[in-house]
Amino acid sequence: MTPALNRTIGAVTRSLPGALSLIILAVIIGLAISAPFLPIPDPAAMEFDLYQSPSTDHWLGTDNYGRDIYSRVVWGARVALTVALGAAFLSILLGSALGAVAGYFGGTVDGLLSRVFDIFLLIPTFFLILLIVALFGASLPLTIVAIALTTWPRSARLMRSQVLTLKSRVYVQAALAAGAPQWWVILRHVIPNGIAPIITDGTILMGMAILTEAGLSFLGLGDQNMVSWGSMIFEGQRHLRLAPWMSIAPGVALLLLVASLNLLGDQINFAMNPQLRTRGGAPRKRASVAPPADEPAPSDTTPILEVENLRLEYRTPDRRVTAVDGVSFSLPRGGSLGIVGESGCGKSSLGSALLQTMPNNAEMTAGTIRFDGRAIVLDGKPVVEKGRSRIDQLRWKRLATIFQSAMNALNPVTTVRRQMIDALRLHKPDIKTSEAAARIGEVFDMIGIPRSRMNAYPHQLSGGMRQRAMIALSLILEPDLVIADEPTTALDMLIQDQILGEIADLRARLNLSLILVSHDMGAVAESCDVVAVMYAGRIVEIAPTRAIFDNPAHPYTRTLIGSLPSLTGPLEELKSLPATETAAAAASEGCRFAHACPSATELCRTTPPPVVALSDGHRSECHFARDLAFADTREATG
Amino acid sequence: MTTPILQLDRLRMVYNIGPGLVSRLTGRADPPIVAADDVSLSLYPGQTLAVVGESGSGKTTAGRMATLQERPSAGHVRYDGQDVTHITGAALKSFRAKVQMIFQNPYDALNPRLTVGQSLAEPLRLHGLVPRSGLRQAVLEMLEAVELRPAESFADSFPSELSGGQLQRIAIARALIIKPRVVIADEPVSMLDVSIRSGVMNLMRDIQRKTGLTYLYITHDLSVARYMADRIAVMYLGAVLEEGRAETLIANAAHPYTRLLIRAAPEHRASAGKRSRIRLPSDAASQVGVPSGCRFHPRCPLAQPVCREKVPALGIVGTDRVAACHFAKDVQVNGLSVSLD
Repeated sequence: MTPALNRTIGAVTRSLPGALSLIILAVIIGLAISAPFLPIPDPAAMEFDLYQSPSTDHWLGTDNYGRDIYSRVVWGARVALTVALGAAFLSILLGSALGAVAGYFGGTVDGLLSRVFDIFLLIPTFFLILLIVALFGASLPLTIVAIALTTWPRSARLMRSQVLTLKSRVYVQAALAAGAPQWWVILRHVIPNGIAPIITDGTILMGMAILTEAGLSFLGLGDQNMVSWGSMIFEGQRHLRLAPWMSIAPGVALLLLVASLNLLGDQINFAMNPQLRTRGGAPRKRASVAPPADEPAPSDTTPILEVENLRLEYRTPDRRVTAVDGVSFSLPRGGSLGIVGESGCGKSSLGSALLQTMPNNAEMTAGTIRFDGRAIVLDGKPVVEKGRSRIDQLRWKRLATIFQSAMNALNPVTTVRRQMIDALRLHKPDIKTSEAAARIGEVFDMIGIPRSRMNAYPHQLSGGMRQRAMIALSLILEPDLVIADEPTTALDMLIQDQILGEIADLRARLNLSLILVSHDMGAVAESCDVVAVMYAGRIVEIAPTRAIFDNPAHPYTRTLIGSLPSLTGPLEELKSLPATETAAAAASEGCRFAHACPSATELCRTTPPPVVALSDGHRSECHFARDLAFADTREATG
Repeated sequence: MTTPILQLDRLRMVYNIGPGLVSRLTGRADPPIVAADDVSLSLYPGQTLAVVGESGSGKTTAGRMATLQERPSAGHVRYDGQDVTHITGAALKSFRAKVQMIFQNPYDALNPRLTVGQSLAEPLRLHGLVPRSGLRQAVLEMLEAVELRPAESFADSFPSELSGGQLQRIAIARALIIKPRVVIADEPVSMLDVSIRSGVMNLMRDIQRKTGLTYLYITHDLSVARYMADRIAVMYLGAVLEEGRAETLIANAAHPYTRLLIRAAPEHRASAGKRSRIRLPSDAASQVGVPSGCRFHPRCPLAQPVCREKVPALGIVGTDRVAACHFAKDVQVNGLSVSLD
């Protein structure tokens, strides 16, 4: 059993609706299977006490022939479940086989099969079933086949779309490249990975099948030799006034079974899509605070941004993850800071915390952020002034951001120019159109977009131009500080270099402060005065750029620098870390890098390292920071 | 020089986009996309050839043609001197056993429903190389070889329990378990963290040293190419612009594009100062409608009228070096500061 399957089963059984529907299903299935062995009367045995209301002899009363209704409901469950399982099984088997073939081979095969699915979807279920019953007579197996024949295109279309995405998956490609024949790939790699949503849909199919069979029996077209809930309801409604329990009992049973099947399907779907669980949820109302009374007026020497002991946690239903764990730094006006780290180190979370644009499941548990001397976050709570949070007043106007993906950040249905005018108008409502156009032209010139491209839609621009448009949009209101989260990662080398160059030019020209979040030591080295290295939620080393490359005083920084191949200098064996995850780091008692550190001692594993101040603005969290800082760097980076 | 083990000989790959309804009505059909235009590459046994290029350069297409995942529209693929361009059936299967592939995305490289051991055993079972009883042992040995220890516990784990670096090591193990002679690796480390990247690259180099494997290493990063490869081929918009021995190509590039790539690489070395940047005339590059003349001329800081009109041929610019630039010799001597008149 794969861990994913285990997790899904666990999540379904733990949720209340999931557990409830499973219990109801278990009871119904248990009763249906054990019906012949239960001490209940024969469902067809007639007695002379007709229309008995529920009593201790007959728990659910008797019908117009004096048959025990409880016994008939239990036996009816056998029919309902047989139909459900039979129809769903046939429908999924046929549907997923044909769907897989259509999706996998594509082209003409797909075209033909898709038309067949469409035609079958167009046939009204009842019409086909009536036809079959009229031609071949009423029998349970025929009903099952008829239901399957009208529902299989559902599974087929689901499987087709699954396979369309699955066949481009790397492991499918790899199996083909290893020389596997097509049928092997379909059976071993494609269908097992595509079947999950079809099984989920199967529970819904079962509910439909049960209702269809009940409907047929209600019309008197079911198998007359079987006890079906549908025919019981049909008979019941003729005696509704005399004996309402005759139709209520099978009706409730039908409702319970179908409802619990649908509920179960929902829960499985919910459990299999983690996004539905973690990402979702409405924004929570966060407690806010008033600005502190004794706030000094900002002067020229006030840092543009000050961060103290920032902590950010993510909540998932079963645990809390600390993404940023006590980060402090200060950025002087006009300065530039690079925040470097690897995936999961918390650098992007830190970026979103600075702008207060965290996802809904994130929570700031501590920390103070001051922008230009004024607190925008105090003790983890946003500062609200005159009914508006301070960050809302600053965002974009004075504190702008550049995202990694310009395609997602620009509105695809309006022109770049329109979006820039809208942004201007939002903050300067009385600006004239001609003034706005002049300002936009200026910004475009600055960032290197030809003015002729102003009226282009985002999709008409190349990747590099889009990223430039994104930067132009963030600069249009002349902010003081720009936070750029991996602004060039998705771009090609030459364009990446050009855009970094343009950001550097702009910074010099506009006296802009910059925070550059990146995984790329090289990009940061050239664009920033100060570099902060993050590991497992903490800044483990921060220093002026030259100092961090010349005298790295943390083993992690040394590894990062030593692991980069270079185009100059002699070819040396690159350094690397063992392939362990940072999750292990957060759990350790001592230094969080100890588990991967090449020179960890017993001290490192038991005691968290102190913050060691080395020289002006150079801090490192390592027990051996001093030794490292003065060690020979050639040996260290080699 | 010895004969190449795998040779791509003047390969062309053209994708025709079927005309859509609108363009059929307006009478404007999209031009076909030329993903590879006369690409010739040679892999020598025991060596690594790196193919460097940005997105849309055709480097991935070249790799896919080398493994016969895609068949070229024109040209020949030769393995050990034999033309294998259009082989099928048993011949294709035995070719696949000799030429393996490592993909870019390690998180998607393994079937999530199979254990690592099952995934690794699959190629062995497909080719019937090891008896059923010996599969487990072969898998464990391979896991040891890619430094995943303890091998037992890795063999029984599922992909979702492993990190990116571990997954890519397993993907490498799967490619190597049937003892191929050539491995095509398409950006095998670009999705990994920096500190993990170097570990995977070192592993690939170690394996090559021990087994004499041949690599075709596809990357967008020239410094990675320098670290991994004996020879480098630089591709742009479907064509090879320059090819040669890694060290000499980087030290003395003859194509302006190569020079720009070298300049664009951020330098972190303590000794390196700030570089000066050259503003490029254009940064659009698209395979639809390759420019006339030299395909790089719209972005070239040295472009001259002749570049717009005449396609430069791949010419010899030194021992064992070729470049496709009208001014290759000048660029070699003066770099990008060359004044052309």
